[in-house]
Amino acid sequence: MKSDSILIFISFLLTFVLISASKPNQERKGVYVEKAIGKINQQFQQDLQELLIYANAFETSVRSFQTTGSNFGNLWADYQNLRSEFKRIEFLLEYLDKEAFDKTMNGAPLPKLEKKVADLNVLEPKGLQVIDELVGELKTDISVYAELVEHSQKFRKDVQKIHSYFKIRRITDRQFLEASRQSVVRLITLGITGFDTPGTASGIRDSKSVLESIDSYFQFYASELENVNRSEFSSELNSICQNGIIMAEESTFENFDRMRFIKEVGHPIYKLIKDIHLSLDYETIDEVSKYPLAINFESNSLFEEDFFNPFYYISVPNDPSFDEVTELGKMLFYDPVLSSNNEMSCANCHKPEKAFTDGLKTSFANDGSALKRNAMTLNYSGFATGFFHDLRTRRLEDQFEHVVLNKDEFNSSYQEIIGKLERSESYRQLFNDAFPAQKGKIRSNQIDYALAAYVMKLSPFDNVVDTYFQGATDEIPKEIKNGFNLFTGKANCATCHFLPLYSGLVPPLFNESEAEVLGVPEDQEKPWSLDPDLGRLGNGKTQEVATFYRAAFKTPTIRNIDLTGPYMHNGVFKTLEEVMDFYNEGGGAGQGIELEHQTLAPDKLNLTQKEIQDIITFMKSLNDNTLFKAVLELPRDFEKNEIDNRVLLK
Amino acid sequence: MKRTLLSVFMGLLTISLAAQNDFPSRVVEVDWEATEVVVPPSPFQYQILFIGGEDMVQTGVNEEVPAKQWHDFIGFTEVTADDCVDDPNAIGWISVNHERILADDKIGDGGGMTAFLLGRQPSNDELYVIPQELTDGRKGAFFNVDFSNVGETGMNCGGINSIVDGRIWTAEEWFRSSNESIWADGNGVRDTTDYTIKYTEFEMANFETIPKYQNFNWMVEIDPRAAKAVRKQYNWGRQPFEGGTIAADNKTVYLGADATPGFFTKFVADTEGDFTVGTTYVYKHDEAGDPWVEINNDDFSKMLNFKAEAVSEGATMFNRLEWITIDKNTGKVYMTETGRDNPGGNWEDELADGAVFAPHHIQRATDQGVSGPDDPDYWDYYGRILEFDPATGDVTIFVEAGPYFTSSPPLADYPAKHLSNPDGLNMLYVNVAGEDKTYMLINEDLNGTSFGRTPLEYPDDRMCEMYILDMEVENPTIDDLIRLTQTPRGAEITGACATTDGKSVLVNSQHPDSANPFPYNNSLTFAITGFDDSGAIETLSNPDFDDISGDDFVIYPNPTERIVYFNKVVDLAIYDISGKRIAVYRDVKSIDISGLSQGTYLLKTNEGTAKKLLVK
Repeated sequence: MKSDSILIFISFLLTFVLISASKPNQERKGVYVEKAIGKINQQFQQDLQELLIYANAFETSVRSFQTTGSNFGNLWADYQNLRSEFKRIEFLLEYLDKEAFDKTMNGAPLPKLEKKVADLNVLEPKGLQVIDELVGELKTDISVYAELVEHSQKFRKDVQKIHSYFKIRRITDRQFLEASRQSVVRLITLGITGFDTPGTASGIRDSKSVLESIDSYFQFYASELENVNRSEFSSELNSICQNGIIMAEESTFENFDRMRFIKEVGHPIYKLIKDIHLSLDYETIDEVSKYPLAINFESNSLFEEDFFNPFYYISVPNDPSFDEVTELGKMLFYDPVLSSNNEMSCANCHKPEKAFTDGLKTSFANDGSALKRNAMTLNYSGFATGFFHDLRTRRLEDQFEHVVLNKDEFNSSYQEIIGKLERSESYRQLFNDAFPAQKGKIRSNQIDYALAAYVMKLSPFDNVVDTYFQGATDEIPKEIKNGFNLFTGKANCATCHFLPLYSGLVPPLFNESEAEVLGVPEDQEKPWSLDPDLGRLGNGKTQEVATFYRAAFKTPTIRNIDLTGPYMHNGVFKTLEEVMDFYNEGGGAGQGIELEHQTLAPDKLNLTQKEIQDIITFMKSLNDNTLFKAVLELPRDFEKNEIDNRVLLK
Repeated sequence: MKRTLLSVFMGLLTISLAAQNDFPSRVVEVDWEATEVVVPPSPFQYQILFIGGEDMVQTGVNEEVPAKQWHDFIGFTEVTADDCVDDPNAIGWISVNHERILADDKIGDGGGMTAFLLGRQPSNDELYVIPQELTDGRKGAFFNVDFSNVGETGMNCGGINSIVDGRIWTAEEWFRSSNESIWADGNGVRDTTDYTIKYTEFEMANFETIPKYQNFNWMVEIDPRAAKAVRKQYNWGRQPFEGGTIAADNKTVYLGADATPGFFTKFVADTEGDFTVGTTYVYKHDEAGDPWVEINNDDFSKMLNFKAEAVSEGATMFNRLEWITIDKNTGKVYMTETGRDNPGGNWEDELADGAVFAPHHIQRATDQGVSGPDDPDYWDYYGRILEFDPATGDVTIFVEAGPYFTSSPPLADYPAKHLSNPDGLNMLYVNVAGEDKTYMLINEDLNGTSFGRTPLEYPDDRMCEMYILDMEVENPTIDDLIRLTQTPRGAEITGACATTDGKSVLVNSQHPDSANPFPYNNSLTFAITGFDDSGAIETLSNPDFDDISGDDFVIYPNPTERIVYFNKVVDLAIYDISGKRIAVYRDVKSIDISGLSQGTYLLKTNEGTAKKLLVK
């Protein structure tokens, strides 16, 4: 008993020593004491209550629209009130229950498949994006009225549910701060680009509500920041938000300077919230979750090299030997030993000097004939959750087996490849160095891991737009800026080619890669006919056999696009001018192809020639500064020396 | 200097900590971020038996390929004296379903099954896979079940494991409605020419030529000993089958279909053990007298269009019937009704055509204040387990899943037991210290994470748990469930099946997240052994910390390798030896420290209490 007391005493002493060591001069009791967060929770409940009031008012307004004649002004005002209130707390709703948010509040206005059921069940979209389309159409087309009534009622009911569902929630500081940063990502990628408002283009007006919300919520932290002598964070945040609000007020959707907004408002807020989080010493996501997230907490802006977390996307462990794994992957990538005839390597179709494409309409098979599809760039390709044009595999490391086993490509098997590699002392050594815990035997997943690790390294984030956003320079040519603003605005490109990768990786969580139905023609002969390729519908996933996936193809990155032509899954367009013309005319459906489920709006974009040229200039500025090169030599110490005679393809 | 001093103190502390080791908590706490299988503690033993994509299956003589993934149903077929197996410790054949449609030159296109023979070491009850040589000349440990004699198979989900003699049927679930959907642009079933049924016991089906896709969605009997399919049951109807069971009379078969609406089907054989001749019925609860309505199985077109027949007979509609099992002791039949969030639109047409809702759905709709189960606002988020009593003909709710939350509970108030979308269902019969016990095995397959299926704090991926239930409990509720195990992130827990000696339960972890560490990034079959140990199950259900007094914050076990339990829900932070805060937990009653390297750490609660923790 007595010795126990001594031990307890020692244990407390120890605690004190350890904690003092961790935070010299900062021993506060405040770490777990609620201050700002209590008020934030109160405010959240109040805002939820108000959202419900506005949802009710909007529904009433929609219902009375018919009886009072074409009183669009009232309906429009109530819709704008509803949007403003929604945008005030959207960040918390999305953060707290993403599944419900996408299904009922503000998901894309496209049908989706019900998950985890044993049949094909299409969930029709609902929520504000659907309502936005309908409100937009109502001005010119009264026939959508009944649908709008139905959706405004559904929305009100769903807000009621969410209101009741969050009633007893107590948000923590960490959650609030993470949600706030996420809202900045949403604002940059989905708000000002018009993704959120497909019918009314209210994205700029929305951004005002978002900034006002951030500004007011963070005022609750003023005294806590004062306690840690960081009052300047409060005033800085306030002035940036006000600056952004003025920008939004002074602009329209067409003339908004998105590039400036991101650089002077979006990114600084994103960084500042992190600084506030760290200065207040609240736990970070890295301290509470073992799972890596898609984006790194530490990063300061969306266009930094460290924004994405590669280890979210690939299964390769973040071990000390990761560099060796990458080196092995690089060797394997250029080595035709992976193919059964020792003549074909990954670099056959993915040449480093062409941003890892081959410049062909569609790639060559191992017998010299044409394969079905165009080779995609590998730069930045690892940041995705679906691979191949038809999204047939979910992870990068699962992609290679389709090339290895394909009769027209490597026509080999892992057993055969391992059998060969094990006959080379150099390779045995490379594998041992890369996977020291599994020495002695080469395993198939090691080949996949190594190639995945190499591909992951091909993402330098150093084109001129990246470096401009990173702050290395404040100068950027006018045409590029104009092109960027059109790309993310009037031309609607960034509503599918999402920032910052300009690919179909959906923000703000970046955990899903999308495919789109564009109506790409089989060839350029008029009248156009739809390319017969089934796309996602034919990807072999039993759960994805839905007609609206017919002719749906992955949205690739347009980084390095100057080097990656010809374009589209079948390489039908040779130049970027042809590509821009295709989109400007509303894709296939805009040019006579019958395609009910095209996800690209069939309307003309009405871009001028000058605008098209600026967009192309911008896209051509997206070439990486870093040049990637093939290995200099291959291992030539195979016991069976005919393999040694293989040719290095660069 | 400080370091030296610390290590001396630590050494002293270790001695005192050893005394805490006989702490009684053995409960399997839920781990929302598990990347490996969460296993029950000693005396239970845990073994991995079969890894998809890694273990090689024999597809021909001297021909092997890595096994398919997506393990679902598990069947156990006991070895009998007639089988003449050399190894005296052999206990039975295991059959595992692969829920896929995938082109494969060696295994055969479509889905498939793997069969293997299991033995048990008498000394320590450990299980092992026994190499075999089959009648067709194949040699090895794992065997691809050959379906070539019945056409392809696909999406092999649940199945039937006869309680009489261990016979095995596999269910071809995902309902196919076109050749396009099985061909999948050449990635699925590549031979989509019409299929002519011949040389079967079913005269009504012989020489019928059907589109290839219609040769899917049958129950298919297989022989695990020969790793070969026997027959497709063309007389049980073509349905999105998930599960079934055979009654003790060896004549009556109960079948469930995973759809909304899903129908409850019965087949009664004329002769014991011969399921090729008999009568097929569909359940209609409101039929005067006997609730079973015959569907003529001599008419092959009725078997092909079973659902239309059931609807026109006004059969009872369920919301996704999955596995079915039977209690040997009572003859009562249990089935999982997995549920679907808003089924309204899925069965309104069938309602209009004459099918009827199961009474419990009408009651639920009334309780929810909606017009009926076909109302778009009618919800069925969690599903339930149903009981069918052959004596009364009634289907009633056995355990309602949930609980339902109108408001999302904070993590601290999240119930210790929450059952969502029960799917796999089986029985375990075991003799513990002379007493015969019967348990139900219940597997979850979460339809989503919303509506409290997981706490809001963990929305990233599904976490499926397996529960057991003592069948002696009357009117059981969720609180009577005992958590047994949990599969890692992304995985569905499937297959649960007991060995007939009652010592082990075999379980599948299906389609886990491929970011989990090997082998938990593959589908795998594992075993938990020790159910016959006296007190083993009781300790799982007795997590009380009540015996502990005199300390307001107790941690156990310490030292530890993986889970640390606390006597109450706390907020706490972990500091490493250098004093750096490395992890923060809120509202937890246990934490998983398997990611930490060996050494000493400090746990500090929000109330300021600190405990030292040794990680082994």
